[in-house]
Amino acid sequence: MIRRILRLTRWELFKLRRLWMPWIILAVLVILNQLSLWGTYATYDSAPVDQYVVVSVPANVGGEESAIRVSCDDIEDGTVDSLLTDVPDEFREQARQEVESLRERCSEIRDQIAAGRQRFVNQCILPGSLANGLKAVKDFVPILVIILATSFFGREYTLGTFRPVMSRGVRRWEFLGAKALSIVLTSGAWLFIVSLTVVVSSLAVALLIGEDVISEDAGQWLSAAVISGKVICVVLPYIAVSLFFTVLTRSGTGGVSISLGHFFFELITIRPLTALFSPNVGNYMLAPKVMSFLQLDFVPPASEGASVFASFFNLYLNPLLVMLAYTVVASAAAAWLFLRRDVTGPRGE
Amino acid sequence: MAEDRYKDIAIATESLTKHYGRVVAVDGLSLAVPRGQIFGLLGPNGSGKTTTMGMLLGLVKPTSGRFRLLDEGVSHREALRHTGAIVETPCFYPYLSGRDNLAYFQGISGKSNRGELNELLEKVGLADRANDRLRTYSQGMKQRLGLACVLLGDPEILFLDEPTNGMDPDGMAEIRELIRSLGTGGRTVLLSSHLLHEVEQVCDSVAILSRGRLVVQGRLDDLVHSLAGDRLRVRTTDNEKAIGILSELDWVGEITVEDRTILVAVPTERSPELTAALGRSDVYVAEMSAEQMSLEQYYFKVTGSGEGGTA
Repeated sequence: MIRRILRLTRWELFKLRRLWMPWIILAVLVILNQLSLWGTYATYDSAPVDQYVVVSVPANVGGEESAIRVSCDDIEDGTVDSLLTDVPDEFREQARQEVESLRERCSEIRDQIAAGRQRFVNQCILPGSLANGLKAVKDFVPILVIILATSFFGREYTLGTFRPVMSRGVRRWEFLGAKALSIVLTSGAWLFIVSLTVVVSSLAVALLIGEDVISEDAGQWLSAAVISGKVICVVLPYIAVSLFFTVLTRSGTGGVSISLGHFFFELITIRPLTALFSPNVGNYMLAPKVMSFLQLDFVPPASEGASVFASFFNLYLNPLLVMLAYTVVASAAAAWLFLRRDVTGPRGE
Repeated sequence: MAEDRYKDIAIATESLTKHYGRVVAVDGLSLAVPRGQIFGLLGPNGSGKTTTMGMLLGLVKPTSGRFRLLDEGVSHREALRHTGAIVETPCFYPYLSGRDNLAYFQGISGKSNRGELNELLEKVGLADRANDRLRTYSQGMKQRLGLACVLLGDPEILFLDEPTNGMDPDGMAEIRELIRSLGTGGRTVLLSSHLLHEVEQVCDSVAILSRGRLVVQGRLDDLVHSLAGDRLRVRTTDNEKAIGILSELDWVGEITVEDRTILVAVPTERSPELTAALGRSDVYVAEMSAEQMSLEQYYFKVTGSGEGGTA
């Protein structure tokens, strides 16, 4: 049985890779994460990292009011005295005081600059760039998966290709399972390719700024793995829901409309529903749970006054249970409907 | 259905029924399609041909009744692995090439044989266009690809629903020949077609459906002769005198005149006696033949529908 599903999955992937849709979605994901990475790089690159901080004192150079710009580098190099020669006598003491106050802040400024560089390294150099790149695309994954799943399955209704497939002795639930599995694998492939492009771009950034290709923050590898896992978890209920609505309407267009409508309806109505009925309403809605689950940090913070278990339940277990419930119920409903109904010819759309 | 009478039957149905709400699409259909024959399924639109095929292929769930494909004890799913089918129109993936479509359907059946693909594409005359996307194919080419698809894995049973639909006359003749050749070597073909002359040319046996019910089934020759076999078409040197002589013979039935020909209801084996009787009165037979009934005439006779070229 598993072998048959895997065989069908292989051939579903054969069809899938000849469609434009998955490649377009992949391109969107790659563009989004590359924009995030190179945008961060551009911001860092244009920052005045060489002059650190500048102070100005009034000066009279050549008979005109002007300013002298002094940096921490000037103070450390000992060139500050020569810069102060143009300062009129009545301002010289004030200038010295300002320079001294800058001298006291230089260490702090250097720390800030070092922290800024570290943030940049965390975002653009491996392994931090990987986690950051996946974070940039994770929120779009549910929508893109809905589009792929409904389009890929709905196409069979449009073309009437269930008939030749089923008449070759393929079991309906095996076909449904293979479809779902092929979409999960495609989502995994998207993540892999997105990660690969991040790796390549990170190497390029490291070369451009003369940094080590892998930073010392090993914890980010785990963070990247956790984000990938969370994205795959999120994909499952949305594949199930998309397949259910597609089977229900026997149409890709109907499926995508209702699935996306359901996704946005939940996000839009969570606040009014919570206010109107109960704060617990959100505990049963998929989209709000999924979005909060994707935002979570890896380590659950123990909320004040609550036990660690309660905190863990609220943060992780509840979203996971909601996603599991939606996956199981929507899959079962889709399979029940799909197995029960007669297979018809092409419906066209 | 374990009786001996089903031993040589490839497809058997027993009281097969399908209701769509109040509409009865197939009503208690009991069919027996002999193994190794090309079996025509005839009937007007809405007579239940496609629904019957759909039930046999597991696409449509029967409301009641039973059926089996191949031998007793072979599961339906296993039987489908030895079956090829086109139902209504061949449905393929337009974004794949003809070859990739075939490779897909071969692959999901658990087989992989590139040689077979080439051979089938050659057989249906699509070898030159095999690598073009299906969306560039004409309807006739899709039909051809459909035929190649049903032949994947050398199936024992073929279900062909309007296989020459959309083809030009040359293509139709070619595919008819192909279907004829498919019926050899023990393979069973269940052919549904609106084109009665097509069925007449290729089928060994037929079943005629009307409003979901089986009207008649049997060997094509037997069915046609069952209605036409007892009439002779006679032209003589003196038709008026001949009618007078024949009407006095007690073993001759109804006599009618059609143009310059006399239609005589008489068993064909008594034609020598008839010739002799006329000869004795100096009336000589210029032409005599058993009346031939076409499948089309037979079809309209048993279904009681109007004349036309299609069912």
